[in-house]
Amino acid sequence: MTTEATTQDEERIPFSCCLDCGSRCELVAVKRGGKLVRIDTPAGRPDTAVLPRLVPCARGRAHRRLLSASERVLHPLRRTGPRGTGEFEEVSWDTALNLVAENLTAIQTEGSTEAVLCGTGAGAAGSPGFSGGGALRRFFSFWGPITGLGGNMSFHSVGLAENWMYGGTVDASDRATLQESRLIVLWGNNPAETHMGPNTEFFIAEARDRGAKVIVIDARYTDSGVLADEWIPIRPGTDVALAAAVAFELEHNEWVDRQFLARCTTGYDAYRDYVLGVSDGVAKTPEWAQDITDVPADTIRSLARDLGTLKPTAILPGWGPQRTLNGEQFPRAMITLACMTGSVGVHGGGAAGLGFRKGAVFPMPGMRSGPHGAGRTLHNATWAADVLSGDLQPPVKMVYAAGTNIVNRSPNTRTNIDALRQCEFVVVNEPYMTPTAREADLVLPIALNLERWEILRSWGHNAHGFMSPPVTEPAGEAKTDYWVFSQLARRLGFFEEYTQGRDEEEWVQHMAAGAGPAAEALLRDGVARLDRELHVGLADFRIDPEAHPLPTPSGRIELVNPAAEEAGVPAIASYEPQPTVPPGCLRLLTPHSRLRANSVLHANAWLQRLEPHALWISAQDAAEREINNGEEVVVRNENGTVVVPAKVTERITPGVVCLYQGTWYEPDETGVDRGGCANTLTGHGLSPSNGIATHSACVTVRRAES
Amino acid sequence: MNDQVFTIDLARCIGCGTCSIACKDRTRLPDDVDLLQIETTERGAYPAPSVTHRVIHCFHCAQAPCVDVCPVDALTHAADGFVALDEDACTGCGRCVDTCPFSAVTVLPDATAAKCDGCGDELAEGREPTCVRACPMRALSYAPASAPLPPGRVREVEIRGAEAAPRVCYLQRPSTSHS
Repeated sequence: MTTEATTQDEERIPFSCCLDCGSRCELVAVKRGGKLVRIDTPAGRPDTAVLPRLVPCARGRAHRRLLSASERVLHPLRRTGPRGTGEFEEVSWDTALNLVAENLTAIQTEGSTEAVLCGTGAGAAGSPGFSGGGALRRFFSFWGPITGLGGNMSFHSVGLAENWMYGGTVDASDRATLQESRLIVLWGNNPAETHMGPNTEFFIAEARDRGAKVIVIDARYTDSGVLADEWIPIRPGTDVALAAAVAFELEHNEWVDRQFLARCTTGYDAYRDYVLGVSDGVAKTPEWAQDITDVPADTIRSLARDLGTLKPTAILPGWGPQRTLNGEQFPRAMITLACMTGSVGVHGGGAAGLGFRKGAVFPMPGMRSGPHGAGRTLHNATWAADVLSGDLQPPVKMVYAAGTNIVNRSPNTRTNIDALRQCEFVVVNEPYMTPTAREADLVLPIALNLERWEILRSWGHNAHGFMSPPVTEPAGEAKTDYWVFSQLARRLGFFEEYTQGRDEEEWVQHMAAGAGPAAEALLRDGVARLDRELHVGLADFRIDPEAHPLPTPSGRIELVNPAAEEAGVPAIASYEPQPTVPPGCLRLLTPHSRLRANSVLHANAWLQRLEPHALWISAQDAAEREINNGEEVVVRNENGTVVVPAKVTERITPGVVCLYQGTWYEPDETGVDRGGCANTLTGHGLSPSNGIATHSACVTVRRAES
Repeated sequence: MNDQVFTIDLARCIGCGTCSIACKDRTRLPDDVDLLQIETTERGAYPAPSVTHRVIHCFHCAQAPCVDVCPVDALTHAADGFVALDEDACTGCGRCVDTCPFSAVTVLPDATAAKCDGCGDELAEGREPTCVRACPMRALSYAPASAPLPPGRVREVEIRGAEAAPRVCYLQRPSTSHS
């Protein structure tokens, strides 16, 4: 049990967030006199390199304000006014559930269950199968083949690169190993805000205190810049050209780890021939890249010198640079550089992939699914266009969204709303009245994780499990997703199959008891740590690639990928330009904010207060448009119009503007989005292999009429 | 004598706001009242800007002007070294607000002042103050003024409100100026 001192009537209950944030941290719900009074962290346990405290960020600490948010849906609501007006009436759970069951039965009777679009996301991520999208998918697996959503919105191209080059998800190192790095390159990566693993930014700071150099390559000087020795601003979408010039310099100066390349990789000669210009007659010199990237040639030489001479090197690529029309090439270039510098499998180095380590997601007994998968799958980025095209047979008549604010989170918000309005019946399971819920015929109030049983595993960067009981009563009449789908299953005749005879508490206990080495601690303490020593990914492979081959055809890291050519991109990590920014326009970046996990947590007054939503614009671009800091600006393109205040700053590359994603769409009477939802401005374009390209958007910006 | 000071490492603070939220959660005050603020300063010009995030709260000054100006002695130097606020005695006149060099005192709508109490209750239970424990960067500490500094840090020399002898120590890298 916890070792910390507590007052007599105080209960301290460990839990973790169920957010789709990339981390799982240690939180404690503190109850006094049976009432939740605050959120805390564990105290009294020292930080060690192997078992550091998993200190949560502001989002985790702000849980209590979320529970009481004014945007909470407290009762089942049935629409009374036009879609989107927010006019609803309270109905009983019985009425609401009967209405859903009747609509599903009518569709089933018509014989085409694919008329139901199953809208799933990661609004309640983590719990294996009984919250959010997982619960909804499983429900429909007993009912019939529906229309599903697919396509990885987060790391599509990194996943492809890992499959093509490493043969599958690559085993990464614990973040704590960064402390041994001599050089850390945050390439399009902002762990000060996105973390991607508890303590990532802390370990980077520790490494720097031990003498490591930290470089940030980004169109913005983010808060990660505080931790860095150097910021290299870059024109978005040109990272692969910078990588090629770095590779040219590594070759030119004999800073290439040829022994590693020979032992552990195949195909390097093709990339070298590209970089040196043997294959296409264009040497990828720093001067060549300077014109493309806006990074001065001398800066490129200096970066190459650091990468070539400081060992071990951890190249930590972010996921932003691959959400472009040419996104496939970025993660492949990063992995290629990790190989050239011999960083793979080294303590303090890294594979430059997703960063997920083996053992993070330890097995637990899951819930049996039914016989039906998705009958057809639409892309997460373009489903609305498909629905609106009129070409779908059968057309989508009903949408059931759980754990997802699909209006807000898919590109092109306006289209998403139009698509929902075309459907006959829209049901949304939601804790909050989101822009998606506003479009629904029926909104079912859902409990938050502190209001229900929860079991969670690490997101990928460490190996922890968390199990927690409800610590407070659900708001209003809110129920869990599991309860809702159990009740629907009862009405549709598969209650026994869906529940397998267990309620939520029983499921959580069952899953915890079956969690192998984590079981005992999970059941006793609510938190289990499987780490016992620092994990260095691919260390075995590096030492003896013959004995520990990768699941690629050659058993090695493959730098030439025939599968890439089949997907419509070159076989090597060559620079493929994306369309340039039209005259008068600026490139729009829509990165993740430290205040939200996608659009979840928007409804938190404490977090909103930390940083006002604003468009980052360079002082130069602002001056040209006579925009002053704090003034409202009109941001517009073919997809929509947003009006937000401007943040005029020296911290962004001229020609680029930035609007954090995740704030809720809030149209005024003219259709202008006053909420500043980033996806109001993103389009349906995809990369050659169907990766989302939200960071390829372009906008015009002008001062709003006062 | 309590010689402990709030030590804030400017070279580590990424302005994440976790301390601010943790403080807000503990104090149970209205949404728009922050006893701990983060002052963000951007300097320099593209392509070489810099940013500093500076955590600010009541630093329990040894020569606290708020104690001196309080007409009803609601603010006092307590035995544990903190500047204590007696909410029952406070009339909400706001003189302390105007005199605090850190603007770290607020008058609430119910006409009582509010400020950081130093988390004396946490300390009494053997825990560090809430903001210190909350920091994901381990950039905050509440430690003796003589405690060794992290590698490559110096104490910031120019201190706001130095005449009040605030119990705060900002750390920075010697190459950078955050004044």
